[in-house]
Amino acid sequence: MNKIKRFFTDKRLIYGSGSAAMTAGFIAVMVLVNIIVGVLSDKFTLKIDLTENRIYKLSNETVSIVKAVSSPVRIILFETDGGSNPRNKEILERYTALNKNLNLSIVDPVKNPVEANKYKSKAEGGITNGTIVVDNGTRFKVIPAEELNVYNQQIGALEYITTESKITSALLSLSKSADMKVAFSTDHGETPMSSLEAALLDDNIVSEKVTTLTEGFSENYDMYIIVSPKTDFTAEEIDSLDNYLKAGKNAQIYFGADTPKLPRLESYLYDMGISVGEDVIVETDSRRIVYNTPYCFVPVIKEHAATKPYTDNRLNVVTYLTRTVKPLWSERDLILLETLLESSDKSRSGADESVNGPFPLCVMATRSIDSGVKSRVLVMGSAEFLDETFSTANKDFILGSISWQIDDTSVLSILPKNVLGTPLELTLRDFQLWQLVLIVFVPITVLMFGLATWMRRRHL
Amino acid sequence: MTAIFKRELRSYFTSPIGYVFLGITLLVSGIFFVYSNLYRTVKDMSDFFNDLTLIFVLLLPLLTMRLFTEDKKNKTDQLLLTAPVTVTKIVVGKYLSAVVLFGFALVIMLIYPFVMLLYGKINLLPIFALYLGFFLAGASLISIGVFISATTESQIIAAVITFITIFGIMISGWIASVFNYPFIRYAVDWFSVFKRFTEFTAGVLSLSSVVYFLSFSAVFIYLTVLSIEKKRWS
Repeated sequence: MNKIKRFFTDKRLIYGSGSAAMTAGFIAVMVLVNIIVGVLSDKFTLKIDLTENRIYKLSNETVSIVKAVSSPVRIILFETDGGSNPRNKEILERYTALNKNLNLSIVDPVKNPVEANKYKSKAEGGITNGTIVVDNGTRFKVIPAEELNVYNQQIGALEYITTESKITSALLSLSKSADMKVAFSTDHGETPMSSLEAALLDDNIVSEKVTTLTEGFSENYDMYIIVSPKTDFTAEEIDSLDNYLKAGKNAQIYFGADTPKLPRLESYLYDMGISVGEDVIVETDSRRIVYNTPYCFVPVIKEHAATKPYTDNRLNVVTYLTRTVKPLWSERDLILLETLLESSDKSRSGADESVNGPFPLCVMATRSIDSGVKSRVLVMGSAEFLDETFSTANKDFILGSISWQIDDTSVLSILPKNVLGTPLELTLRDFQLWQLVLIVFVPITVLMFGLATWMRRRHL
Repeated sequence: MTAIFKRELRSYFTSPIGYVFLGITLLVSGIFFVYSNLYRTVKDMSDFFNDLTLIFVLLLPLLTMRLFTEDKKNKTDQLLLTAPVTVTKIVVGKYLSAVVLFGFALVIMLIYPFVMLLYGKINLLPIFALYLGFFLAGASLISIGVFISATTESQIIAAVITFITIFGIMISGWIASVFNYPFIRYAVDWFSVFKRFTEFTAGVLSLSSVVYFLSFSAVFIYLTVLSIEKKRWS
C-alpha cells in the first residue's frame, strides 16, 4: 500500500506526467495553428507572388476558360520523390482554386505505375517526373515535362514556364465537341501524315484518308489537307475543289522540294492569287540556321490571327527545303492574301543567288463567300514543315491554323512566363574582380579577424 | 535575457568559432553566388539559395553545439540555473544569439544582390523574400541544435547529432519514399523544413510557411526549456 502511495506521490511521476501532458498539449496547439492557417491559406490564397513576371498570376483568358468548365476534370501532376517542381504545383493549385470541377492529384509514376500506364498511350517519352495529364473522364491530354519548362541550354537555367498556356489549351481542347472533320487526299502520291493524324485526333479533330479522284471533294469534310502530291490533279478534281471551297470549306496544301510541276493545281492557285515558286530558299543568317544546314532555318512569323501565339510570345517554328509561295496581291475579287511565314532579309533564292530575301513561304488566302461565310486556303512551300522531328512548335502552329481556318477559333495567346529575365551585363574583367573579392577577400578578412582574436586570447 | 543574449553573442566573437562560421559561410556562399549568378549572368537567386542549404547541414551544428554543453563542461550551468532568470529566458537568450549570428552572415550576404544591381535592373522584393525564407529555415534548424545541445554532455556529440538530424530532415523525403504509404509521405513533406523552403525559392511568400517556421522554432525552444527544467525535479 505504501509502495503504491509512494509511487503516486513520487515527484518524478507528478512532474514528469505534467510535463508530458503540457508538451503534448503545446505541440497539439502548434499543429492546430498550422492546420488552421494552412486551410485558410488554401481557401483565401494567403500567398504573395513575388516573382518578377508574376508567373503565378493566371491570365483573364485562362480565368474565363477555367470558370466555364462545367464537368469534372482531373489534373494529374506526376512527380517522383525529390523531383518536385514547386512552380508547376503552385500554378495548378491556382487553377483548382478557380473552379470546384477541377481537381488536382499528385501521383508518383514510379510508386503508382498503374495510374501512369493509363496515360502511356499518348505519352511519347512515357509518363515521367513533371508530366501533367488533364483528364475529363472521356478524353485526356498528356503534357510532357519538357514542354512545360523551357531551359536555356547555354547556361543550364530555367528560362520559361509554359504551364499556363499548355494547361489552358488542354482544357480548351477537351471542351471541344468532336464535330470537326479533316480529310487527307491520297490519290496523287501524297506523303502520309500519320503523326499529324494522331495530333489531330488528340485535338478532337477526326481525320480520314480519302480519294478525290473518283469521289471529288466532299463537303462532309471541313478541310482537305494535300501534302506534297507527286502527280497533278485532274480537271474534274480541280472543279470539285473549286466548288468545295466556294461552299465555304477550307484546304491546306503543302508543296515539297520534290513535288514536281503540277500545272492544273498551281494554275488554280495562281488564279486565286498564289504563285508557287520552284526555287528552294537558302538562309545565310547564322542565327536562323538550324542543324547546320542553310536549307533548314527559323522563318519570320508574320502577324496574323492564326499566328498570334507565336508573334505575341516570340515562339519559333522550323522549316526545311522550302519553296517560295508568293501572294500576287493583297486583296482582290473578295480574296484576301496574307503571308504567314517568310524568310529573313539575308536569305537567298537557290535558283538565283543574286536575289535576296525576304521570300514569302506560307500564304493564307481568305475568300469571302455570300452571307459572311469564308473559305480559307493555306499554301505552304515545305512539306517537311509537317515533319515532327523539326519542332514541336510546328505541330502546334499547324493545329492552331487548322482550328482557326475551320471555325475561327480564337487561338490562345497566353504568354509563357519568363523566369530568367534579362541577363546581367557583366564583362569578364568584372567577373574576375568579384570572384576575387567575394571568394577570397571577404572570407579571408573574416577568418583573419578570427585568427587575430584567437592569437590575442590564447594566453588569457 | 538580454544579458544572456549579449554574453552568448560576445562569446562567439571572443572565440574563433563565430569567425570560422562567418568565414566558411561567406566562402561557400561566395563560391555559389559567383558561379550560380555572376558566371551564368542570371539574376534569379533561387538556385543559389537551394545550393546554400548545404551550410545548414555543415555549419549550423558549429553554431549550436556549445550553447549548453560548454556551460555543463565549465560547471557554470548550475550558476545559470540558480540565477534570477527563468529557464525560458536562458534558452531564448542563447537561441537568439545563434540566430543573430546566422542572421549577421545573411546581412553580409546582402552585398550579392547589390553587386547584381551594378550590372542590370533587378527586382529586390523576391530576393529579400528568399533571404527571409532562408533565415526562417535556418532559425528553425538552429532550434533543433539548441535542443540537442541541451540534452547532451559533449560539444562533439551535440555537433554530430545535430548534423545527423539536419541531414536526416534534408533527405526525409527520400527516406519517406522507401515506405509506400501516402500518409507517411504527406506527413514528412508537411514537416520538412527544406520542402517548406522550396516555396520561397519558387517565389511565393506564404503565410502558412512563415507560421510553420515560427511554430517549429517555438516547439523546439519549448522542448529545450522542458529538458532543462527536468533536471530540477529528476
